[in-house]
Amino acid sequence: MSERPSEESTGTEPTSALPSEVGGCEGCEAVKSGGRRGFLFAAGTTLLTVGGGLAAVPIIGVAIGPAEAGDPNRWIALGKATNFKIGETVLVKFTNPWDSPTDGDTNQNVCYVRCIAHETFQVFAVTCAHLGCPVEWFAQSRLFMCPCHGGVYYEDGARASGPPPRGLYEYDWRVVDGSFEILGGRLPGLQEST
Amino acid sequence: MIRFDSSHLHQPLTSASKSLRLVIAASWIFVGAACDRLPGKPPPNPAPVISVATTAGFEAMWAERCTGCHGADGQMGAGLPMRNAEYLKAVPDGEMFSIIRDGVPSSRMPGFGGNAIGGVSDEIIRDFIKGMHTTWASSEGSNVSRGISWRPSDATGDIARGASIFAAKCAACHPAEQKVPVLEGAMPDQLIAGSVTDPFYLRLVSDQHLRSNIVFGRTDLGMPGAAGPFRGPDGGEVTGGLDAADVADLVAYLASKRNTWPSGPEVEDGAP
Amino acid sequence: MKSPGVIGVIGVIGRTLGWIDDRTGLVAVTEHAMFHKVPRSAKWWYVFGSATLMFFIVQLVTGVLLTTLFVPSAGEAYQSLVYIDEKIPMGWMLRALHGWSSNAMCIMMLIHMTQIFLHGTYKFPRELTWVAGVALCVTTLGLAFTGQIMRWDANAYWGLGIGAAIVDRVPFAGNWLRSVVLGGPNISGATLSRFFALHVFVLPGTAIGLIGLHLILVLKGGISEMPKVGQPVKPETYRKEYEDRVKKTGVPFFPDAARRDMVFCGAALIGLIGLAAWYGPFGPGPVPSPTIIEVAPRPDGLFLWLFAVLALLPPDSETFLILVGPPVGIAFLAALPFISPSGERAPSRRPISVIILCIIVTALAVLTWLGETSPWSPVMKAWTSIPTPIEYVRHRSPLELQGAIQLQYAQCRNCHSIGGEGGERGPALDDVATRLSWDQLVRQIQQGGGNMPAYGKSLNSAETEALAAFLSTLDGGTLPALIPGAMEQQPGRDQSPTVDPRAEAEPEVDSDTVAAR
Repeated sequence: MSERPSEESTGTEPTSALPSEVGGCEGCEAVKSGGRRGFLFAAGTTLLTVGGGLAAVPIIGVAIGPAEAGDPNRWIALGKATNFKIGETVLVKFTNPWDSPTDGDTNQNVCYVRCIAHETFQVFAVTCAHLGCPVEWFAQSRLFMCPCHGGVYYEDGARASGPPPRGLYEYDWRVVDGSFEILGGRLPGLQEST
Repeated sequence: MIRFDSSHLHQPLTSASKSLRLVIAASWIFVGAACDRLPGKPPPNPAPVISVATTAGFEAMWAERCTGCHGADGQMGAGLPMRNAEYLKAVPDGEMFSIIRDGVPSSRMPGFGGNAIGGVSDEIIRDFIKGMHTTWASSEGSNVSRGISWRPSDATGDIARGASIFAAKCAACHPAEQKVPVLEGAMPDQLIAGSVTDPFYLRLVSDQHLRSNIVFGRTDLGMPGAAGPFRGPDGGEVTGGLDAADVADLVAYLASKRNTWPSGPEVEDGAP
Repeated sequence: MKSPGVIGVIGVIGRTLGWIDDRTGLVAVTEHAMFHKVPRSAKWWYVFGSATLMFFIVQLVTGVLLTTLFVPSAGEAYQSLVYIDEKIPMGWMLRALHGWSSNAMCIMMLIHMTQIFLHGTYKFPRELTWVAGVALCVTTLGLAFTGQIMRWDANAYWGLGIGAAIVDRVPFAGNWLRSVVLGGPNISGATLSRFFALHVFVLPGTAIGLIGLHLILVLKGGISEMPKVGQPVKPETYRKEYEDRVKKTGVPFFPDAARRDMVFCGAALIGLIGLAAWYGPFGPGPVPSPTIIEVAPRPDGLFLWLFAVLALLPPDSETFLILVGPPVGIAFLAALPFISPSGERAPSRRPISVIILCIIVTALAVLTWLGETSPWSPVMKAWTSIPTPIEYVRHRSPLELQGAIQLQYAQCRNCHSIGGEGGERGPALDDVATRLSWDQLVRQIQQGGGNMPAYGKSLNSAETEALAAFLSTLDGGTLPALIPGAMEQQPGRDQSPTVDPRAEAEPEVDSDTVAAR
């Protein structure tokens, strides 16, 4: 063994593992014997490792990029706060803050806005806390019902019955100069803080 | 045994390939055309919408959104029947439109347009009203309501007079006490429909609801409209119909029974 | 008596083949694959693997053609599907073939797997053939799931939502993983692109590689014989015994054994075309718009059992079972040949395996049926679309009729049926009066419980009263009252209404209602 690559070696570490296992093979002689052949092998390994590592940067970067993009939530204006009638829960559309040109209809999203009192709101995600099906608001019985596995929520979003492990997800909201805004963008899920 | 004699193959090649191409094209067209006639060919998407102003389109919409309370064919539901030509003519289209779109506040009629989830457009509601007229406006030619208007006039009813009319024409079927209705199979004239002076009942229905029921009746359930005939206290038939003043008095009498609670008017506990 | 022409043609073919074999060595391999000896007992039981492969080839061909027509963009995918169905000549047939062949492939694969399990074929020396098969099974199910996403409709959109919610339950890394899977913080165009890449490149590529490996291993290990009682697999002697037997009594795969494969595959192919022509393509359903929420997402038939499992799992252990169950199940399946590598192969000598198989098949069948009927799902439009049965409207008092309206209006029928129509989440109410007294009715309505929401806050006293009045008339028709007093009138109702009847009637209504009074 003359030179070993000084950089990080590949996972299989062919330089050390191969000779001991299949000691007699012809190609392995190149590794065993020093000199030019050993140098070439080491150089090849090094170059491939470095090249592969460099190529992995954009490949892995694009693959996991969406998860590393930072907080996608933005304040989204939903119109004047006075547009919402006290005591009513309504379905409100908004556009995702990070939409791309090929999103089509999926750049839209919806939430339920419940106006409790003057400038006092609750904003619910439409997705059921069980497995994400869209819940439907029934103003008559003041319940949200899920069409998939039968989760039911009260008008304040609390779980009423069925398999959901918690109440409806809620968006943060604020009223700025009479304009009603919610903090949205990310699909709510069990591991959200809200 | 097959023999290859290649010298014969060369000459008719061009004409053979021409006809071959023709055959291929023809069969392709045939297969394509036949394919479109196979049962699996999906219908156009989205399917053409049948206007709700027509009977067919109207019935689909009725089945989806109205049947629950107003009955599968517009009658024999728990709510007021719409299969009633006189009623449909008496209610102005504009009023009907706002009832269907926004619902009736503080009643159990929900709105089906506007901001309601899955609500339909104003245009569809107008067509729907047309559909209701085409389908049912000629269903009954009788004169149950005696032409009494749907909305009350401004005159307030006379409670005492209403009470006496009630005793004469209504109380036989609607006794003050809530009674178990007669079992199935009883003769219709033995029918006891149950109390309408029950305060619980009265708190659930509006004066307009009472008026509509009195004027247009619930002929599907055996209740006459303003034209009668009614059943008297002795069980005999009372033929004299009600006029507009009688109806107003009856409604006033019933309304006076609404809040006969010791604790006074019911406090709404969150009901819509 | 062959003519010189025929001899010449055969000569040319022979020389060409010889040349190709000389340069590639492929002809000898193909020849070995086609004419290798297989056991004489390999009969109709052995056709399902070939059929699975044939349907996979149909998938490849139709799939490649579909990629020439389908536009994998969230904004245009739906329109392109509709365009294929309506405007491309025979385009709908192509989609139908792809969809039906997908189902057929999965079913053939499952039957094939069942046969291998039942006959103990996974034992020595074919362990790795089985492991490769399990990997193929997972890949195929992955293809089926991602294929449902390609049908970019409401079911696909909300199906992704369900997938995202499951991934999100992974401890610690769930949220991160979900963003990687969805290609963003929410379901969007990037999500379709990611699943398109999976469905069209990654998974088919994996499947092709695994099928190659699977076939090489089949050739290496030899096609198994039908299991024989009293002929257990002994790893020390099995290879030699098998080879001797095959050498003595075996037949060449082609044409002797392949004949049955060809007949079965041919019939299956014609059956597939018939299904596609008769029943047409799957979907697309409603448009995939997140703003249209009046949808009831359902998975395709193959995953209905999973849909049922997700509804029936106990909530407190749900996350654990969803995340741990599938990997453990797959690992156990793959480990099967290492758990029982030798011994009897005949099903009659392996009762536990047969019982396990019966349990699994029965469970899947029952769960699929449950998933299809989904009795736990509310019928979202029941309250406006299903009328009160006429016999329950007749002979009811005005108050009871108001109660019937209330039953519709409060969406009770989304979960409860009367007259055989309505939701099945709660019990049918046709004979509720024989089960609950007036007081119990009122309490159940006001306080809920037993998986029913409490209606105390949304119903006032008159509405509750009317509802209880109507429900207490539902005595199942001819059934006598089982609970003494259930059929009797509420105490105080036949007295003058100046006495508050609820003073005695509802001792336990919830505090909100009492406060409001």
